[in-house]
Order: sequence, then structure tokens, then C-alpha cells
Amino acid sequence: MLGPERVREIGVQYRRLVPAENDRIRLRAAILAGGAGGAGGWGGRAPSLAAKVRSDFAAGRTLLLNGWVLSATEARQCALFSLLA
Amino acid sequence: MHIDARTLPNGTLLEGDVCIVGAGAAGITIAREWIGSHRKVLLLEGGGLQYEPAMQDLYRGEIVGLPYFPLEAARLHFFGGTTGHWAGWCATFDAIDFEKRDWVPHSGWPIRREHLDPFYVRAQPLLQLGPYEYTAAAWHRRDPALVPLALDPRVVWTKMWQFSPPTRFGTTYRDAIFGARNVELYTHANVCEIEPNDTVTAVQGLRVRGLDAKEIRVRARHYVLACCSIQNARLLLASRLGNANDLVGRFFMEHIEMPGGHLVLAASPTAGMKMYEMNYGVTKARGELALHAAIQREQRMLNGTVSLEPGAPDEVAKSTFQAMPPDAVAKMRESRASVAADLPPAGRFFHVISRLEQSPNPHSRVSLSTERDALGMPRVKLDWRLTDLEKHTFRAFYEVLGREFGRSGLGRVQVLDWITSADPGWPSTLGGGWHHMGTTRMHESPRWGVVDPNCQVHGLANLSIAGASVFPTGGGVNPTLTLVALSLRLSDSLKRKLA
Repeated sequence: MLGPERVREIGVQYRRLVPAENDRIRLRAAILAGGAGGAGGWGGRAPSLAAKVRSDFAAGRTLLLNGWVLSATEARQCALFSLLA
Repeated sequence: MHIDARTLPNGTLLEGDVCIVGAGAAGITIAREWIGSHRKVLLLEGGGLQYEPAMQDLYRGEIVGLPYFPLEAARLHFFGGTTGHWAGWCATFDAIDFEKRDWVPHSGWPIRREHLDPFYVRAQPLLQLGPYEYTAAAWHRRDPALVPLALDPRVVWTKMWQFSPPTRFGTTYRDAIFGARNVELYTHANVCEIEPNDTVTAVQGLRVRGLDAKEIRVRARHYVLACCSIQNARLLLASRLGNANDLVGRFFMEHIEMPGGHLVLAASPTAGMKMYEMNYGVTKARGELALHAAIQREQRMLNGTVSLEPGAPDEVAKSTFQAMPPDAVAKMRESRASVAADLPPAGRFFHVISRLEQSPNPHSRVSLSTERDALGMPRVKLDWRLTDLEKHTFRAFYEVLGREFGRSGLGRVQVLDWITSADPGWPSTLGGGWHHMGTTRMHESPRWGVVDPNCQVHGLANLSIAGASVFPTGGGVNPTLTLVALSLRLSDSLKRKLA
């Protein structure tokens, strides 16, 4: 929806904001925590992650990054993308 | 009947039962209600039948607070008043707008929404609006293409607006006023002073002055000031009336209308976005997004709505970097050349434009200037001020909106930098809606209000005020429909009083 450049910028901002999660392993763990991802491989986990994102929004687990109102899971995904890309 | 007051001899005395000062939406609404009655109505209009620079200049004033529009451009000074250039946007105030909210200082009306409902119904045809229907469901039944976004209405709901043609009161009701045997319209009749009786418990008369220094006196059983929020306050202040508690001119309010963010939809809604579209002169009704009263209470915020204006992706940079100098914007665009290409296609990108309530604030005020106009009247000084509550409201509104769009899976919201900034100031894009409210506010007690719940000035038995100046709070929507409804209510109350 936002494109890779913006996603990367958001990810960098998240890592600055939450330095404790500034590595791939911790970010993956946080994204998958609480059952997100189910039992399949990473690629097969999208529906469950989508549910986690919605749950974040419903529970108010949101952040303002580069002005975007994003769920905590999305912010971590952006952060992971910024490390991988 | 129409008479140009410039043709009257100096010292003429005009007498009637009711004298209405100001022939804009409020004044003409009231005058119409008395047509055919056995009461003689004097309707005084300061300007003529069309725009005249010398008359318009009488409205010029100083701006000493936040930047604001030139006052001589913000209101029209001729028959029909500011309806001569209004855009016709109408919506009802919400029930919460009338409530006392403990987080909004000085909030609370002495009347409730249900007291105004029957007058809203009567105001609709006066403004040439459609049926008295202000729910998205009702408009969807009329036009199945009007489909609200699938958001949780307990959080974000679609508030309906209707659009007047717009009604120009000066032309639409000209024949009715001119032809009325018991209504005398005097143009070029600028009231310069309200004269009280010896005990200052009632109005004894009005002094009207022309640019040629000729004076006319007016006497009536009852007087109604209906010459807009700034001029109502100016006339009372200049006459030193109704101000025993230093309230006249205070609590000046506007609506804060400015861009606040962007919305990117995940997909184009299958039902389309007609509900939120605006095509001037064609659209009869449309929706804007508002926050439920429960959310306003929870967030301790003011009321308001946002409109969704379709945008092109390349407008994002323009909007985001609007506060930057042009050369900096050019450099930024160059360095971010790839950004525009990343953005969603047109049809899924929207500018989110806010229209938010202003908190009633005694320091936001109209007072008299030391400068005088061509009639010798003190000009006004406007000190428009906002508080932290408005800034908090912007941020809370966009965060709630962003969360709800995310939860629903419909899209994502981006908030503009100035809203998230810790800077307590306002950006250069700060703007009002050209709506003036609150300078003679309504309250049961003279300690807290200039007029009582029937719009009568506290302590002056035969002086009432019509128009948005009596609003204790301004709600989140344009004031015209509500001020016309209140004018009808005032007229009914006067009829009972003079019966």
C-alpha cells in the first residue's frame, strides 16, 4: 500500500524508537509472538498476521511512525524489512 | 415595503412593534415570520441592496490574535447579509454539542438538541434543503449509491450534510419582504447606538446614522440584534449595554478547517465513494466522518468532522511539506523521486480535511479599537485564540481514525507532522471556516451569559439577539442551519411575549 521506500523509512524510525528490537531475531520473535503465524512456513502465515494486525488496531497497540497510524505488528514488519532490504 | 433611509429627513422618528437590526439570514428569517401579522416590523439594514465598498468598509477591523481573514471580507454588509456569498453547507448540531462536558470549559447550552429539533424542521425549507433527514441510512434509502464506509459506527460514523443551492436571502426573500404591508425594510440604516431607559432595564430607542451625518431615531416595543457575531458585540460594547459581567465580545469561536492527514484505502470500495463526494451545485447530501460521542468522552476531546477529498499521489509531497520553503521542497522531491512511484493509484488516496470545534475561551474575543469608522463608531479588534484542547483534539481524532481504518482493514491514515509535533503553535495552514460564533453567549445566569435561554439580553427586558453570537459552543459543523432554527425559536418566543 505504501511502497518499499516508505516502508523502509518507517522501519528505520521504529528501530530508533525501540532500540531493544533492533535486530532480526528479536523482531521475528515479536512478530510471531502470541501465536501469529500458525504452524506453517513464513509465507503461509499471512492470514494469521493480518488477524494480529487487526487485533493490534482493536486493542490500541498502535504507533505513529512517519505520521502513519500503524499497528505494532506492522511497525515491526517494517523494521524487519528495513534490515533485510 | 422598502425605503432607502438616505431619503428620509434628518431627525425622522420611525416607530414599530418589533425592530430587527440586520437583514441577513437571522434577521430576514425573523421578519418573514411576522409577515401578515398585525404587528409593525421595522427591518434595518446597514448596507444597501447590493455590495457597496463604503458600506463594506464599516466592517473593517484590527486582527491582534492568531492570523485571520480580513474582517471586511468575512461578512457582507448589504440586504441578505453573508448569505450573499455563503456556500450552502448545512448540518445539525449533535446532542453532545448541547451538553456540559467537564473536559470542555464553559461548555453546555441551557437548551437541548430536542428543543431545537422542531425548529430545524422549519429551517430546512427556508434554506431550500431536502427532507429533514440527517442519517446515512435515510440517504442510502433515497440513493442506493450512497454507501457509508464499513467502519464501526460506535467509533467512527458518517455524519450527513445537506447543501443549500445556496439560498441568497437577499434575492430569494426580497419580494416577500418588499411586498409585506406590515414590514418596513430600511436600507442604509446603520444603528450606531442603542439607548436604554433611565434605569437601564430596557431599550428606549436606537440611533441610526448615515454617511451624510443625518440621524434617524427608532422606537419599538421590542428590539432584535441580528447583525452577526462581531457586529452584535460591537454594537453592545459601543452602547455600553448588556456587559455588566464583562462577557460581551468574549468567547469568539470559529471552526478550525485545515488539512490534517491522508487516507490510503487498501482497495477501492466496491460500492464506490459517492457518499463522500462533493460536486458543487449537484450534490444534495454527502457524508463526512465523525467520532461517536462516547469516543469524544473517552478521549476528552472536542467535536468535529473530516471530509475525504480525492487526491493524486503526487500531491502527497506538496501536502506533507507544505510548511517548507519552495526550494527545500524541490530538493526534497528530488531526493525522494522514487516516493511518488510507490504511492497508491488515484481513487485510493484522499486528503483528510478537518472541520473541528473550537473550545469556548473567554480570552478569544472581540473588543473595540481606538480607530473609528466613517460613521464615528469604534472599529473592532479581533483577538482569536485557541487552546491546547484544540491541538489535543486534532491528534486524538486522527489517531482514533487511523486505528479504526486499520481495525476495519479498509486502509491506513497518515497524520501531518504539525499534529504530532510537540510545538504548541499552529502551522501556516491554520484556517477558519469564516464562521463567527459566541460573542453574546447564551446562559441561564447573567454571570456566565449575555442572553438568556430565549435569547433575551439579561437585564434588558426588550432586547434580544439572533444569530450565532448566542452559541455557547460551536459544534463541529457550519452554523447557518442552527442559527436559522434558533431565529425561528426566538421569533415564536417574541410572538408569545407581544401577544
